[in-house]
Amino acid sequence: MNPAGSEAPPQHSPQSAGAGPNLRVRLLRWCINLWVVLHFSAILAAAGIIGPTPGYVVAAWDLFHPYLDALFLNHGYAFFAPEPSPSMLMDFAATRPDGSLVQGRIPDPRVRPGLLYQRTLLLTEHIGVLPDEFREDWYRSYARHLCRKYGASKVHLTLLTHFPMPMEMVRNGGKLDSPRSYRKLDLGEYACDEP
Amino acid sequence: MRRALGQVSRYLANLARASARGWNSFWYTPVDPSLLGLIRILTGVMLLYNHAIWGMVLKDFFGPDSWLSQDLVAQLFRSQYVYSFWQLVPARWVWLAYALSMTILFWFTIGLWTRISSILSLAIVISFAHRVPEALFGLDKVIGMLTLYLAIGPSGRAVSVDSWLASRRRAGDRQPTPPSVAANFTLRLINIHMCIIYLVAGLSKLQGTAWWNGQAMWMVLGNLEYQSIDMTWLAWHPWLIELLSHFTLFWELSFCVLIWVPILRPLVLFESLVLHLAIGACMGLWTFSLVMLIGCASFLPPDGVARLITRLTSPRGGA
Repeated sequence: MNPAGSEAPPQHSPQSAGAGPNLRVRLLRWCINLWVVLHFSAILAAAGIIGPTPGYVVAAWDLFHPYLDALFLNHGYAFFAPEPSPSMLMDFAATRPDGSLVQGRIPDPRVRPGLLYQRTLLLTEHIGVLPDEFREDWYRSYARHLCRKYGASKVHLTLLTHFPMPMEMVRNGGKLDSPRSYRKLDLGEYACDEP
Repeated sequence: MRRALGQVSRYLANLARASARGWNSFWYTPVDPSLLGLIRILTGVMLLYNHAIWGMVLKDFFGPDSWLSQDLVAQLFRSQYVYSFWQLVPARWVWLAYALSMTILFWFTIGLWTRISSILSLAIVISFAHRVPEALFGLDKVIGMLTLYLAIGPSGRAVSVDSWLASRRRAGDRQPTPPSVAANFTLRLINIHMCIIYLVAGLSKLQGTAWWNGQAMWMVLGNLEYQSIDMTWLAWHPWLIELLSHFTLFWELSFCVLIWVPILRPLVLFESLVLHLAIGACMGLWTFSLVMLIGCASFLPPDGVARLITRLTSPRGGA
């Protein structure tokens, strides 16, 4: 893209930038200006669609979301918002046909480098914000992956919500990994020969 | 009455003229493209690192038995206008597709055939992101944004193999790269997008009680899964936690205003540097922090960066 002639005329100044461009350049600038306004309106619509949303933002989102989807700009940028949430973890127990058991936790804190650990943490963190309609398929897909990875015949999954320990409890000797800070949800057993 | 109306119309006309002048000056003033070239290199290095990490778990995330099956991803995106070349890659070609992607990202980083390699890099970033929605976070959003703008602008015009080859074609004539309107336009796109990111990050926090009562930073720093340095000593200093929470909020909300005040800009950038390094050190989110700092680098003075690069790359060290 070359916004209105990318090379500078000699001794260009901000004032001269708009002084006497020819008609073609002016027209091009108007098109670019329009795109800039629409582009950032779309970015703001994507950010605004999260949370309490007025009707005009919904209308803008309806208009812009194909553009935002295609360019991977459909984001809310709501980092640790509206509040930092508890972590989600997943315990698994994969049983092989010979009866041996492989147990583990996602994410595994020993995974390095840090970015790889973050990626595996996100595998479970996203479960917290998952629409209900996809929840069961999501668990089944994870179970199928673990089946193939460990050559298992069945996999048992448990979802854990890890709440941060209140400051007062830490001051009284509580540890961040205290068993009391975890809430378990048994997701059940998944057979590996399921389609 | 007529006089008053005349004054109002003159004021409106002056306002329109001043706005047009300001707009043109903001978007269409030519600048040295070296800063954009530097941002391309930094973004490219981040892309290479990010995708090298994907390479360590390629089968787990992109293979036929990946964490999220191809079918489920398609179902998840059924009402969205997304695409990913991974939908077309057969299982036996996964490594080939990955190797090609890394090669193109490398070309983009060094600025080789940048016009094409930047657009292909954008397609790669989007394709990877749309294949693994279960593992995306802020890093992917910001690096996607930077790659988009670098693909729009002349990111290979300076500090690149392309510019070196061009100077060789001119028989070694090391002329300074001419200022470019497109380089400024691209830097401005990054500037505005960074302002929106910080503003939205701050506004979305205002909906949460924990950011108002100051407990939020404890919920972040006391989260075992994100903790890379033990910060539990802060439990004995709750007022420090509250101040940190409110300072973070103030920084995010005020960035989009204060960064445009020339005298405050170095201070705001220094503040961003300190806070992002702290996020990297305390929460292990180094890649996210670094990519945000690359975005913040778009606010550096282009001429100053160009002089610095010339001095560093000059055969006689700028003498």
